[in-house]
Amino acid sequence: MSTNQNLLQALNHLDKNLFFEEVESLIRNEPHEDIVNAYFNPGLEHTKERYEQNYIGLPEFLLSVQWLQELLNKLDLKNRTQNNRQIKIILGVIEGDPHDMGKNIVKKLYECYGYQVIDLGKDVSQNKFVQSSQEHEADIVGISTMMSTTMEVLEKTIQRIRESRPECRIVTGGAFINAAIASNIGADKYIENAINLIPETEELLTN
Amino acid sequence: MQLPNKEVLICMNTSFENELKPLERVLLAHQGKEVDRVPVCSLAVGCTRVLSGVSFEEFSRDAEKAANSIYVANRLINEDVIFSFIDLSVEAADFGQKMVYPLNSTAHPNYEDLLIKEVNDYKRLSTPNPRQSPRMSNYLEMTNKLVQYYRDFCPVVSFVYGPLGVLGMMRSYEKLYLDMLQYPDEVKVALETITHTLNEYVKAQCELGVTSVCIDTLPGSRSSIKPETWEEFEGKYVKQLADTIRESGCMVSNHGCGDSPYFREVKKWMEPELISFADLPDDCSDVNELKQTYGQDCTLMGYISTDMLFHASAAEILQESWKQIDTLGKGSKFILAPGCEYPPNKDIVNARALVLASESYNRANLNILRSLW
Repeated sequence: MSTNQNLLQALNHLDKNLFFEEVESLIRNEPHEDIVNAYFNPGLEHTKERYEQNYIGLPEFLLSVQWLQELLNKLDLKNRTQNNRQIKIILGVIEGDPHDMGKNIVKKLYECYGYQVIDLGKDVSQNKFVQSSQEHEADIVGISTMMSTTMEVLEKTIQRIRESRPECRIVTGGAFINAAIASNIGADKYIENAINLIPETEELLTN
Repeated sequence: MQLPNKEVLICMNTSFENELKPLERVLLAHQGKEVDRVPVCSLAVGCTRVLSGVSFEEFSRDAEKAANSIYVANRLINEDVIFSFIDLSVEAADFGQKMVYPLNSTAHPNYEDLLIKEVNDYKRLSTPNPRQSPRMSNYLEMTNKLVQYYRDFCPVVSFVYGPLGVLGMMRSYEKLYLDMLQYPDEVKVALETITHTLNEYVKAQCELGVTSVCIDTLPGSRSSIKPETWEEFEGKYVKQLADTIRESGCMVSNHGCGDSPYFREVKKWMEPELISFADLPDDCSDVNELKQTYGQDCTLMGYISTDMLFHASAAEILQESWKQIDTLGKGSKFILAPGCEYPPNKDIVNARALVLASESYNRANLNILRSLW
């Protein structure tokens, strides 16, 4: 089997030894930029497809993305960007909400695709979102929530970011909201899941 | 706040002539028999504290205040099933997980100080006695008060968070999911320990005289883990709980509020008599298929979205409720309810709208109603 097939097999079977043996061999023998295009990107797409088609669950998805990210971190890549643009994204879970698994998955995927992520963590105050957006001149602020108790503060935070930086796009995700509600509270987009994350983000950036 | 005295209780519990009592309505509906209206369970729990001027923390820790809050709300809403629930932190807190009690939200683990910090900690879990440990004994006291209030009038359903959910509160779901793949044996040691305690906990709940005990299997859905993974890491453990509940003479209920829950696997391991759900199961494409596949053996309870209860008007809730009664209520064996806990910081107007929808459905012009959806 080819190296690429071996990598995909290792991901399918969550065979850590095989995966990292192939990774070490690639790093020694291939130009690192080529590894991203020929191995890393297909591996990530393969993992997303299998998750979308219910061949794997969240644990397998998380572990596969973690390994792929480790592969990426081993490469010597200069100025890796998403489509030759340096896109800055601020991510955080809204004040009052400690659930950050969704935000962490989004962060990993954004990083895998070459976006620059500033992670504010969980239980993030309105002020912190606004200040960070200004300080980093973020292209996108992504706010996650899993609790209905945060709705009021979520809406206020979106308003304040909008007032301070009208050019910044604001994305929400999580529970208790949908596209219509996100729009009502002033967000530019609601992204429902990891599968749609990159195409929806790209659509937002081009519109 | 004073406990309601016996005379007040009798007054409040008097039904109108020819109207079934909630307990009769629920039991007849469960048997698939005709009822005067579809029973309703509002799952209004945390939100009820506002009616009694109680904080979230007091609601979590003070049995009397919580029971009174639920009681007052229930009589205002006029629902048919009392769901005895505090929050998801109860069991994990007594294993030693530090909790945060926010002012404006429900209790949750201190994620900066999780009990299971490394893989070796799985085998270090202690086994609290639920009859004596602070939060579970407080929950039992609250449930006991509700059973005493509602005896012979309204069924009381008590609650236990499934072993995998409890473990998720002590490790974080993200780390737990990775450990399940990389250190399955260590995770299972902890699940055994937790199940041992939960088994005593459900036994104590049954002794109080509850009608049913509801086991929450949150990870058992496509939002989380594969069905075979759920069977391996939760199915066989919740079976022990379900067996204990049945042996104690109570009904087994199940609640799972993930997307596309695994009813097939839940049935295999728990054989619940009632399933509370927020989304269609993974093997049903519509509500008719759901009713046909699972609604013959089980009473189905659901599934007004909590997003909707939070954001929509009472009129919209009425319409959505009528629609669900129209499809899922056929042949009885259905309880109208939210898909998950009623939003804890929302007023109870939309909970009342659920009951109003049930009360008005039989009088409504169905042709007009159906044209609306």
